[in-house]
Amino acid sequence: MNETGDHPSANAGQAEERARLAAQKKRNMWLALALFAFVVIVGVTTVIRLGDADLSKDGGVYWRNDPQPREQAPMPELPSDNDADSEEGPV
Amino acid sequence: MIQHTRRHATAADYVQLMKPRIMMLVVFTAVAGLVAAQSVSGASMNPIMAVIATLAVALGSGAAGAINMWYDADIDAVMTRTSTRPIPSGAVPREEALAMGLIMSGVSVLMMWLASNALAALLLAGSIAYYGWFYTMLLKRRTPQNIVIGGGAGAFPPVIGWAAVTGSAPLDAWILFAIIFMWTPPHFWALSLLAHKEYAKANVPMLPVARGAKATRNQIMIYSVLLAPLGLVPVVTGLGGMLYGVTAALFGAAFLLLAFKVWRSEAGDGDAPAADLKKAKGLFAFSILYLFVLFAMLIVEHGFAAYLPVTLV
Repeated sequence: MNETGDHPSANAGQAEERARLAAQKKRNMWLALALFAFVVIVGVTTVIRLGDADLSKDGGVYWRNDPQPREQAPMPELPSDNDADSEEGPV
Repeated sequence: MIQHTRRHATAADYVQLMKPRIMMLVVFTAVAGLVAAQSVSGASMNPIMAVIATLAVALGSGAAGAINMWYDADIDAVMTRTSTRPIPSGAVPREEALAMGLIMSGVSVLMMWLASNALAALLLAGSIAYYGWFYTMLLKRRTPQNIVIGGGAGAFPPVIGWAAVTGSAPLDAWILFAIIFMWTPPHFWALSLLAHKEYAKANVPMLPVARGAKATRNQIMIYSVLLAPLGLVPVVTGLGGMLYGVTAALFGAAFLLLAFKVWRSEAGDGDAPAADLKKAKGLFAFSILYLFVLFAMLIVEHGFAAYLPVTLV
């Protein structure tokens, strides 16, 4: 027994538990910092990539904002009046 | 096995899991590739993206280191030199190291892809797998050539740096790869001549354990003879200028001299005198300086406009 009435081994156990929690808290802080840094890095790279990319061209990243007009089939030529004259009409 | 009592992990333990000293050399060689690629190809990379790509290389190196420590925890506990590492010392549970390695691998590859391109990300993923799986799990405990083949893992960073800038991996990048690849065996075997008893205790078939110290000294000499001229190849292709060429010639000659001294010594033998062990230690220390200086010259020449072309007749 010590002055506070606790068994020395109980005190040692509490100290050990406190040290474990302190170490865990420190590790968690580092993990949080690392995660935050990763998020910042992803954000920065995305901003730079978008800044460098020419989005008006077909090779731009992520999307294409200049849809090409659909190719139209050529209009059939209408017969002219001369063509109609040269053709043999119904007898 | 060396027993340690369980202690609470600190941030330093997690940093140690990432093998920071290896990471520094990896980052340095990757930056050299990145800088040289911009100068040689004329392509430019957004500086923030370059920093993020470098960070991705560092994370990838750390991830591979954590996976290596997870898998090798049993042999690390046996060897005195490695027994204080976070897992054998009881600070970090094994599964936590594995989780950290895997998560960091994914994050680093993703970051590299975001910051540069798919090829650089693929090369980074490949180098992590090369070290974490191919070298650590397949080669290290099976063959005395583990260091030779496994050396490829550490040789990737300049190629990754180059690919991050240009999206390709040309000959110049692979020449840098070859220099590190050829440098690894004499560098690591010089250390293993000093620590061969530890490796024998852990049953790891490093060359001095499997083939003996004399064979190891011979191999160190052979690889050094190949490395010294290889260090000059960048001058031939135009990647290295006058400053690089002179440095590579001088340091290559010094490397050869130190390797020759080790070859003539009895380093690694059971009754080797202390002076001979000092020679092996000297070669190990100088090899680090050699690689650092060569890549530093590339950074100086290409990053600080100090490139003077060498005219070869």
